[in-house]
Amino acid sequence: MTTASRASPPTTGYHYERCSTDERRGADPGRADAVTPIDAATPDLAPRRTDLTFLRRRSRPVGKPNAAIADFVAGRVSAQARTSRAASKTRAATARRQSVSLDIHEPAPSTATAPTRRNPPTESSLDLSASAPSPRPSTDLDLDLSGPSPSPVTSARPPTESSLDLSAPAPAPDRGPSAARVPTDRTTSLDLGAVPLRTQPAQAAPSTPTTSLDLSPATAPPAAGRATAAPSVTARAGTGSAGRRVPARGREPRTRPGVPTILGPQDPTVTLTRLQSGVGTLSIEAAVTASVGDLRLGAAYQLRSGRSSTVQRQAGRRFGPPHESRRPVLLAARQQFERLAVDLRQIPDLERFVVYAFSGDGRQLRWGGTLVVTVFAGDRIEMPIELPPTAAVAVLASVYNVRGEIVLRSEMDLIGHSIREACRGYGFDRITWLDEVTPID
Amino acid sequence: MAAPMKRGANVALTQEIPSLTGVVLGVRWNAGAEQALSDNLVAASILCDRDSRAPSDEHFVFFNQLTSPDLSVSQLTEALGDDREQVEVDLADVPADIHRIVVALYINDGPGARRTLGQLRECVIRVLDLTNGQELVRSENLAPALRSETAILLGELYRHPTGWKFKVIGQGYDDGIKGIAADYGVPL
Repeated sequence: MTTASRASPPTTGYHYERCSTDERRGADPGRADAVTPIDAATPDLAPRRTDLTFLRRRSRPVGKPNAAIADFVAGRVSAQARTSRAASKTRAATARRQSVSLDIHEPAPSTATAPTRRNPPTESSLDLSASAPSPRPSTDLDLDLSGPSPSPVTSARPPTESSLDLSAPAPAPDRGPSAARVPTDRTTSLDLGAVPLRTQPAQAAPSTPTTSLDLSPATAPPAAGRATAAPSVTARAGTGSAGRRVPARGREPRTRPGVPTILGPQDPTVTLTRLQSGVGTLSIEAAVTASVGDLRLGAAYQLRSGRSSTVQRQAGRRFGPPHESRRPVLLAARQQFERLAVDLRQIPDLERFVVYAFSGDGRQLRWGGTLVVTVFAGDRIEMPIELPPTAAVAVLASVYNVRGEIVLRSEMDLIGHSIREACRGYGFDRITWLDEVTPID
Repeated sequence: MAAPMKRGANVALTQEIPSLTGVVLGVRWNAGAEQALSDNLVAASILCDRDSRAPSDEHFVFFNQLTSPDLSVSQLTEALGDDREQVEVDLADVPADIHRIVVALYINDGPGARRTLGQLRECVIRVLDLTNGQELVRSENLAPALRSETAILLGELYRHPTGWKFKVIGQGYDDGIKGIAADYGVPL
């Protein structure tokens, strides 16, 4: 992920395109139904990207365009300006090591106790100390803000009006189209050509794959036209102190608290919130009876790093990545049922995985039961397993990390006669195999 | 440098520093040799209304949701300096209906072995000036009083008639982030 820095970057169409590129990188091109269309001409209406902090100043400049930003966009940043900025950052770093003293109001002796499990603090506790401070800054205040602060302030915190213009033209022709900046080693390839036996048509990929990203306007209009149009947009969007307009959340299917979400052919997907996708453990269980047969679970996964492999308890491959027993991203286990667990603290490292099921003893399975996904708070997503009797391997569900939100999809796809075939059918072509069951790690 | 603030102590930030436009809430901890504990610690900020309730799940800022909807509170993906986590707050941009911003530290309940905050050697929250990074205040070491807790409220920024204040809380939770979420109305 992009490292956020204290200094807000000059925001231009370049940053907007970076956002779009990341979106495409995270989403499966064949399953882009969870991606909300973006129009570069109306950045105020774009979906919120709370995972990209450099987009915090998503607002248009007010009034006259800032000359420094215009220079930056035009590639006219002078060497002197760069030197000045570097010096300012150095001064800011030096200043951080300094400290100041403030008039601290200590609590009454009775309140300074060991931590207790209680209700959150209320206003009353604040008012008790309100009478103590004088209306003016106390005389023992020793703030050394006048020294190094002015220039670091200027460099580290650019004025709001100069910090972002998402509608600005693409900065420089040498950047080329955004698609060209996608690292080739980060693409997720679905090896559809290698799809082996597929006994049942997947209700999966839309027939018209689209990234839903309208990037073309970002490169078209000239800067002057953008600057002229800016004030009216700001006035229209003016909400809150910063005049920002917060777009509405997408309309992806979501879970409802306390109500199990059932995924089937009509409603195959659901998107978890960022909290559901990042807190605790995501548990996946195959709730089946003995009449089904010896049903076993496994998962093929792909990490952001590009690493790809499988977890499968029956084969002794319990941890993903392999040998990461101390802190696995995925864990295969068995309690009452076969179970997979995903450590959501590490969800930024996980790109996608599919849950597959197979017969542990090689006999035909009489498919039935339900694949149950449970989030940390206890809400369940249930996927009924309804497939014709066979000994083939079935991909039951796919899980994608799309911009920090987990998208679950019920697949129920009898796709091959081996684990290897099933994995290759879902694009896990970075796994090399020792045999039809065992990846080489 | 001012003396470390004890649990319950508060300071009037904008009253003392009228020019203060934003702060950085820095969280640092030391888990010693317990690397697994350190890896599973999560710092989070909860934006609350007048009733100390989070308006929505989007008002919970943590590693998987780095900014609040209004973009006034933002968590850095890589903290600067010695802090393990840092949260930037633009005070002027905080919506009027947000009255407090609570900073919590919790152990993610992952599939591995269960751990507690009692294994921490150090746990401190500090406040820095956003414009220049100067440290304004810091809490005392909150770790010695911790035992079986799996989450702790470190401190909070809150509105007061005199301006923004900061208070060290140091309140532990045995039931982890679930307990904190229940108290502040965060829909997990």
